Amino acid sequence: MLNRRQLLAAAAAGALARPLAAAPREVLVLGAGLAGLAAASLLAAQGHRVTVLEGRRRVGGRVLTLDAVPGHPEAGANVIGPNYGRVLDAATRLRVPLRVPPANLDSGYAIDGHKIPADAWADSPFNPLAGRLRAVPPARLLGPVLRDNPVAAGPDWCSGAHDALEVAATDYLGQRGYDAAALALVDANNSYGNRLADTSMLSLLRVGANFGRAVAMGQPVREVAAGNMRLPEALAASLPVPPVLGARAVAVRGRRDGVEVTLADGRHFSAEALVCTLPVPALRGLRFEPALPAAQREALVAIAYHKVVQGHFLVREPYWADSGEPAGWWTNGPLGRLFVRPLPGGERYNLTVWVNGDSCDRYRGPEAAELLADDFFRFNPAARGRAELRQVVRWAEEPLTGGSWALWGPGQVGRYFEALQLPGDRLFFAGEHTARANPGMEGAMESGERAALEVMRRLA
Amino acid sequence: MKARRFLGALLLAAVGAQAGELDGEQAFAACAACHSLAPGAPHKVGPNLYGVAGRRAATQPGYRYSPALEASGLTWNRGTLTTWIVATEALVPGNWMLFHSPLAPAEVPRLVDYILSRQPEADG
Ligand SMILES: Cc1cc2nc3c(=O)[nH]c(=O)nc-3n(C[C@H](O)[C@H](O)[C@H](O)COP(=O)(O)OP(=O)(O)OC[C@H]3O[C@@H](n4cnc5c(N)ncnc54)[C@H](O)[C@@H]3O)c2cc1C
Repeated sequence: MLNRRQLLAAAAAGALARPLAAAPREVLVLGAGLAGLAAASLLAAQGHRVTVLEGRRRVGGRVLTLDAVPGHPEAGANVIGPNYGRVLDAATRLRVPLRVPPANLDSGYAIDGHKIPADAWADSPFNPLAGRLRAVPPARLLGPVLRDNPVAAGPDWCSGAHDALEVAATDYLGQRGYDAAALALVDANNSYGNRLADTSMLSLLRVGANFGRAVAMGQPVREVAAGNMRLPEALAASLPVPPVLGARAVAVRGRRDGVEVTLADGRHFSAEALVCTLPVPALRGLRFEPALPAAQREALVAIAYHKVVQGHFLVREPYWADSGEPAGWWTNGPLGRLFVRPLPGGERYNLTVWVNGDSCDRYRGPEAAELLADDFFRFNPAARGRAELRQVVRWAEEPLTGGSWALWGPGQVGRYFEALQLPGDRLFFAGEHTARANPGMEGAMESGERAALEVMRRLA
Repeated sequence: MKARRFLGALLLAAVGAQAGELDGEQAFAACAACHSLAPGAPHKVGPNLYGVAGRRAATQPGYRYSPALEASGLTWNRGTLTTWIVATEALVPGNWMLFHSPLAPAEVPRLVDYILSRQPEADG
């Protein structure tokens, strides 16, 4: 049977190579996150007339710097990897200064409410792990299986070569000596599944492989010195035509000679091609005429997004100093993880409560902030009067996002990865969920680049 | 599952067949964020590719290569560059170039020609 590459080769061999048209053409891009902005920059550089339609009143999407909070903490993407070629290049080109992030303060473990200093973990009576896993810190519990990660070198994660790894992470780990207590700890702060049982092992190994490669480079991670949102802002400002803000698309209509987008406020935009970069939950709210292919519709319904709730506190006094407790925590309780880092000057601190997965269900709706603050002060009584909750971000409840990133359940990589991004005649899909080689911000830009190339071909 | 992926590939292939194709310079848009091609331009996340033809892999001064590429023994020419672009990981497992080619098969030779044309002799 032919593989995908051979099929493409066969198709291309029969293709009539047309000369590239020099005339500029109209292109629409939905979404001013990094994927949309990357696509728009490349297409504008080709001389096309690009209009970016953004539903929010700001650009950046899942890059979200909380400028109103001192220290401008990140509520979305925070870390720029040393191998993020597109992100780093854009920052250099647009003169957006980067820096190595200041280190977080040390953290301890809180298991079932019992606080354990990091160096006491292995021998703590509250450490629920057994055997060879006992000395492994909870945050690195996947370490032993990542040491011989079959995805680390070899065919890429969605080539089909790793189908055998498309099993529930609980099964794969269970077969490798992770008992119920170990699985529960992995589940507590798993960033790649709302529940570990619904998480494809392949996606965990993919993330581990990417992470391992970045670490092997031996270079520091970075962030934008004035807040990561400055990068999408600079990309937007570099476009010949700035993105149209407050432009929420509700319908996409294919026409013989182009594509028409209808906004919630009734405005219409048309162009010869469209790049749609909406995250899957936001995409579900778009009406497509004609309907998308059945395989793509099925994928759009099936793919879940990861839930993240963040509470951003401003700490005015280091309340942990009296007790000698660490400032940061990795917990298996409702608060998930607490990250603390000093503001310049060293007198105040940003503290981020980061809740993952189904634990986020506790912090829903308008009472979320109050409940999160209550939980925090119960966990850290000494913080009363010395820390305040400044902002809560609930990604799963953001209507134009619907979660932090796409999740791959067992079997879903093979079934849905390609279906999610099936190009139409004049309709092309990008966004983090369609990225193949890179994760996160770099994946978003990679996908925008790939979609821009598809548009360039289509308009050639 | 297999059948659906196969169908997806066919649909993708059909689009490739109807549409135009990228020339070498346009295809280089998939490389340009990480690699410059101008003489003397600084390395980016990837090394400068000016004059890469005939050069042994992982030998440019001022750039830190993966141990995997350093140990590869490759010399860059039409054949090795082509394989590197379409099957990076298969050619040098564990290398640091996180790349999945978005190019149509017919575009790859044009891209390679474009890169190979950036040579001191070709300038004169
Ligand atoms: C909490 C958190 C932490 C993260 N940490 C990291 C990290 O450390 N490193 C990293 O690399 N990545 C990280 N990421 C991931 C990274 O932020 C994303 O992968 C990337 O920003 C996604 O870009 P995108 O363009 O694909 O999507 P988005 O940024 O979501 O952009 C899509 C855009 O479409 C707009 N939109 C939606 N619906 C409509 C509509 N109907 N009409 C018009 N516009 C619409 C949205 O408003 C949005 O601006 C993190 C994400 C989160 C949430």
